[in-house]
Amino acid sequence: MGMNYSPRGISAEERERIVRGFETWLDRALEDEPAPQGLTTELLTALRNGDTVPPLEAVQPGDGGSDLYSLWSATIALTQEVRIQGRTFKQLNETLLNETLPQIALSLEASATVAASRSAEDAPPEQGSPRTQQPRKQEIDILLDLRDRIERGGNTVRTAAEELPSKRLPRLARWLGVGRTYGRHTQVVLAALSQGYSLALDSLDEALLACRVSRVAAEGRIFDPQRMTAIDIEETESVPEGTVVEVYRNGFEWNNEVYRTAPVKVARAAK
Amino acid sequence: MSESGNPLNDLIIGIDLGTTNSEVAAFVDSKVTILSSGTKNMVPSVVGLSSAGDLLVGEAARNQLMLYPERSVRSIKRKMGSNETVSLGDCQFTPQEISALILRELASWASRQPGIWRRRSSYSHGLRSWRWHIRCVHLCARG
Repeated sequence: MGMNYSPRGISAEERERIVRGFETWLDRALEDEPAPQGLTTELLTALRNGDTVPPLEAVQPGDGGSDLYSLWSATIALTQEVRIQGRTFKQLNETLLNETLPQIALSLEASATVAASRSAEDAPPEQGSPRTQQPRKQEIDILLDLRDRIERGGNTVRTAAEELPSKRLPRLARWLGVGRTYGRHTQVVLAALSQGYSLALDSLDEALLACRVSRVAAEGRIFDPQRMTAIDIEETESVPEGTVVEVYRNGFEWNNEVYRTAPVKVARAAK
Repeated sequence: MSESGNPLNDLIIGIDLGTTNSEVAAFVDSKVTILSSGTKNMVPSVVGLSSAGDLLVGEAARNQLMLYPERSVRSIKRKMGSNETVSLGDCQFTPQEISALILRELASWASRQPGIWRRRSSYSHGLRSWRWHIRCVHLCARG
């Protein structure tokens, strides 16, 4: 190491001595090793004795060996086979990467979603957990639709009860002299109906509040475009401009976000 | 083109600026998703000023359209490409500026979506010339 072995620095005698030493070492090393298989006895003897190596003779097909032509044919066939296998492997790799793996990923994702939803359904509801108490939008819509119907029914009954005294009684009731009794009975029925509607409405409001749905207070307030929709205008000076004078349908908030705006009539100064 | 080099992995935001309503969608991982804000997935193409002077875009502006028509602008797409201006309260605005407010609202929807960020955006509408198209994009980006 660190020495300069320039071929120009070695003399011919020195070179000859090194080569002879290497040959002696090689002969000594090969003595212990078994002879390589496939070589003829003549060739091996000639190699051991240092005689002239006999010329190689072509082995005829059918003699148990193979000729050079067969060897090259087999090599070429093997090369083609390796090339075809390589192409097939590349195609398989691309198919796996571009098609199969994304499909597997999608399937796994879908399975995970289904498993998560099932485990959420099977798990016992936690106390005070907002996620387990979170209703779906369809359920909220059903509850709100039911509330609208009940409210309309209650309003109709109340209007009917208010208009009853001014209405003319049926002719038969008047002829039989039971007009007053008939009117009183009708008023009792209407009052009971109104109370029934109010109770149902209160119960629904409680259910909606439990679902974090709250009513937007609109009547008598200043118009808020985020929570209300102006669908009618009343020109009046009795209330300040922009005040809601009538609510056509209640608006609602869900989780402190506007879920449904309230269609309202708003006061505006007369021009 | 995305960093991975696969165009299908690139995120594209598409905005439909409509005469009545506008929408925004994202193309992510070979899937198109209509973006939403809360329970709403489209913005009414209306811009307005509230009685308190606040700028309203979308549903809130549409809610007050009947009450304060002088402080609300709608169907602005019909005036795109013209030199006509619209008044909003005491101020005058070009149709492109009003459209930019709607586009900015839609862009804010996209930026609020989890896992979606702005890499590339495109929007479609019946503009009269490419000159206006470029100007609108500039306004959108500036807003």
